[in-house]
Amino acid sequence: MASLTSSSVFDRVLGPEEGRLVRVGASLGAVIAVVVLASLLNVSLLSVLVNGTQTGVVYALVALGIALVYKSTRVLNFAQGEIGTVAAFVVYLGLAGFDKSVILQQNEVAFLEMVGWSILAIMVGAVLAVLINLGIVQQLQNAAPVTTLVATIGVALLLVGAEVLYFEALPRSFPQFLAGGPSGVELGGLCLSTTAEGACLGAEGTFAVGGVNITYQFLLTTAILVVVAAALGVFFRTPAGTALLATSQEPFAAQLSGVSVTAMSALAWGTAGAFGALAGILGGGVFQSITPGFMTSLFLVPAIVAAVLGGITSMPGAVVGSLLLGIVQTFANSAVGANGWSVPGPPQLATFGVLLLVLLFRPRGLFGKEA
Amino acid sequence: MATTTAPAPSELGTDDPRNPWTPSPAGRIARLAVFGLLMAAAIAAPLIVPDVQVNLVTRAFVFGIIALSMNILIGYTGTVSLGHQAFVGVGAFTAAYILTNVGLPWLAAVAVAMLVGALQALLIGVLALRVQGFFFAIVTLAYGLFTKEVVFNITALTGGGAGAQAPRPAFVEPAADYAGSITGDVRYAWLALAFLAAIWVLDWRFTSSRGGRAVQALRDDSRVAASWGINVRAFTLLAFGLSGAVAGIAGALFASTQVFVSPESFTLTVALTYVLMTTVGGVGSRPGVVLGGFVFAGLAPILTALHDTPGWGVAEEGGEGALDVCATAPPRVVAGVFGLVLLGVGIEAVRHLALGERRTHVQRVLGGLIFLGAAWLGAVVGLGGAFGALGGYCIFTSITPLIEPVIGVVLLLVTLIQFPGGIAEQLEAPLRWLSFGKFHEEKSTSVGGGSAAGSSSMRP
Repeated sequence: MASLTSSSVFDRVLGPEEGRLVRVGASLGAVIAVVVLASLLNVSLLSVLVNGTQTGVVYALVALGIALVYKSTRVLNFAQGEIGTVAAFVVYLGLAGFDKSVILQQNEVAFLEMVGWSILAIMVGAVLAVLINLGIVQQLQNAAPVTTLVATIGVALLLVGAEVLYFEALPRSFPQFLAGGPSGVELGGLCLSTTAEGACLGAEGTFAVGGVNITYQFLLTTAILVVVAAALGVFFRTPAGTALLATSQEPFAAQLSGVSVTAMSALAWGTAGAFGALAGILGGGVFQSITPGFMTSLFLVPAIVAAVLGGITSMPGAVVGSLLLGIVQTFANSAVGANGWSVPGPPQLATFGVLLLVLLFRPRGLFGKEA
Repeated sequence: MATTTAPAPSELGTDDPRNPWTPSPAGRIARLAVFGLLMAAAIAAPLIVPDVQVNLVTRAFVFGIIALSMNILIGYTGTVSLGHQAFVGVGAFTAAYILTNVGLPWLAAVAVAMLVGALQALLIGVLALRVQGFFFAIVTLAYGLFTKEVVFNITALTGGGAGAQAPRPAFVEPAADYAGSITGDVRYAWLALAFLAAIWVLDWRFTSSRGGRAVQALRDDSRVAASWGINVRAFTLLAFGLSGAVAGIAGALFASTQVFVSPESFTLTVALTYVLMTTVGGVGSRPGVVLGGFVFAGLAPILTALHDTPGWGVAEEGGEGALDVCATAPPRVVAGVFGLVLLGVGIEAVRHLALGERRTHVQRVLGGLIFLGAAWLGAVVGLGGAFGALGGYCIFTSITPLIEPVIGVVLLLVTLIQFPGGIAEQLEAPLRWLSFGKFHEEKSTSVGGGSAAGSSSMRP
C-alpha cells in the first residue's frame, strides 16, 4: 500500500522547483501562524522557545540515535532511551564515589570530574548498544520486524529491571554540568522584563530575557547539540561515513565493494549508544533528578515521534523534528496554562496533532527521501 | 511490512493442492476427540479454578480476543499497531457510557462498542493508506498516548480519572436465592468464551474467504496484489474495520469483567503487552496468538497472588497495612527474570547436547513443552528463592504496570531468540495434526510461498 501513496501532495501536483517554493511558503506560514497564535493566546513566545528548545535538545540526541540505528539496521530501537538512563547512573555512581547512599549536591560537583565520568559513561553507552546489536538484533536477522521491535522493548525493560534492582525506584538528585547562569549580564544591555524595583527579573545567578531564565546548562546543552550535529555532518563525508550510508542503502552492493556490513552496523549502534548516553546525562540535568527508566518514560516516545517527523532516516530531520516537537509541546502546555482551559494532556494532544498534520502533507516526514 | 511470519494452521499440510492428504477414519475420530477435550477444558476452566480466580479466566478469554484483533493487523496485513490499547479502551468506555448514561441493554452496548471500535479503526486505517508501515506504527503509538491522556480523561464521557461503571448483563446474574457453583462470574466467563469462539470462527472463515486471502496478499506485496486486481484501499480498510470491531467487543467484555473501567487500564505498557503477547504467541497463527494472550493475561494476577501468599510474599517483618502492598514483589520479579533466563539457557543447552540435530518432531514438541513448563517453574522458583535475599524494600507504589512486560522479557529473550515464531512455532506439529493434517511434515521447498519460507528460516 505504501508504494501507491508515498509521494506527497506537493510532489504530485507540482514540480520540484515549485514544490520547494511551496515548502518555503509553508514554513514561513507556520512561523507566522505560531506568532499570531501566541499573541492571541497570551503565550510568551520567548519562554516557549527557550523551554521548548531545552527539552527539544534532549529529544534530538535520543532521536539522532534512533534515526541512525534505523538507517543502518532497519530496527526501531526501543532501548535507546534506557541506554541514557544507564549512562546517567554511571555518572551518578562515579560522582558519588560508588556509594549509592550519597546524595549529590550541585555545588559539590566539580565540572571536570563530571566531564570525566561522562566520557566514561558515554563509552559504556556505546559498548552497551554494540552488545545489544550483537547479542539480540543480529540474532533475529531472519525474524519478522515486529519480533526485533519486541526484543528491543524487552531489552529496555530488562535494563529498567536491573536499575531498579540496584538503585531502587527512588528519585536521586543529579547534577548539571554548570550551575546557575551568566549573572548580571543582560541581552545587549537591554533588560526585557523588570521587577517593580527596576531590577532585571530572574533567579539568582541567571539572566533574564523577556522573563525567561537562561542558564549555563541551557547554553551548554544547545552547544553540545550543535557540535554533535556538525560532527555527524562531517562524519558522513569521511570514508567510514560514506561506507555507512552505502550500507544503509544497499547492504549487498556495499559488501561487494569491500565494506564490512557487520562492522558498519556496530559503528552505527555504537555511535547511537554514545548519543543516547549523552542524552541521558543531559536529560538527568533537565529535572536535576534521575529514577530508573526515566529516559524511557519521559523522552523515548517524543524522540521516536520526532525522528518520524523528520523522516526517520534523515539526521537533520531528527534534529529539526525534535526541536519542533519540544517547542510545540511547551506551547500547548503554556497555552492551556495561560488560559485556564481544562484540557487533559496538552503535550500528547499536541504531539498527535503535529504528527498527523506533518504526515498528512508529507507522508515520508519533513526531510524524508525514502518511502 | 512483515513478510516472514509463522504459517496459519489452515495453510499447513497442503503440499499438493490437487491431491491433499486426509487422515483415516480412526485418525479423524482421534482428532475430533482431542479437539473435544480441549473445548471441554476451556468450558470447565471457570468451574475448576477457585472462585476468586474466575475473573482471571475471563480476563484470559478477553486477552485471547484482543490477540485475535492484533493478529488481523500484524499477522494478516503486516501492520504493527503500537496503540491497540486505545482501540480496546474506546470499546470499553463506549460500552460503559451506553450502559450507565444511555441505559441500553448489555448486548446493544456491545454492538455499539463494536461499531465505534470499527469506526475509529477505519479513521486510523485511512491514515495507513497514506503513511507507510513504520511511520504508521508511530502514528498508532502517538494515537494510543493521545487517547489515554486526552480522550479517556474527558470527564463528561469517561468519568475521567475516577473511571466509569460498566454493569454486567442481567442474563448472567443468577437468581437471588441461587447457591450453586455456577456463579455470575462463571456465567460471565462462559459468555466471554462464547464471544472468543464466535470471533475465532469468524476470523477462520474470513481468512478462508476471498477477502481474507486478498488482505494477506497485501501483506506480502501490495504492488503485486494491486496488479492482480485487488483493491488495496478497500481491503486495507476492511482489515482495519474488522480489527477495530473485534477490539471494541473485547473492550466491552473487559469493562464488564471488573464492572469498572478507568483510563489507567490503557497505558503504553498495556499496548506493549499486547504486542508482546501477539509476538510471543506467533503472529499469523490463531491458536498461537490466543495462547499468547492466555499466558500474558495470567502472568500479573498469578504473580500478585504469589506475592500475597504467606511465606512467599509480604508481611515478613510483621508490618501490616498499606506499606506491605509494595513490599517485595518487583525484586522477586526481576530475580525471576534472571532465574528464568538461566534456566532457559540451561535447558536449551541440555537439549542441544542430548538431542543435537537428530531430534524428531515428537522430541521437538516434547522439548518445547518441557521448555515452556520449566520456564514457568523457573519464574516461581526464581521468585521464591530471590525473596529472602532481596526482600525488604519498597520499589513500586503500584506493582502491576511493570510486572507483565518484565516477565514478558523472559518469554521474549529466552523463547524468541530460539523460536522467533513464538508458541505457534513450538506447537506447529500438533496444531497441524489437529487441523486434519499429518503430524510429521516433510520439508518442502517448492510450495507454500512466503509463509513456508518464514517457518523454515526461523532456525538457521
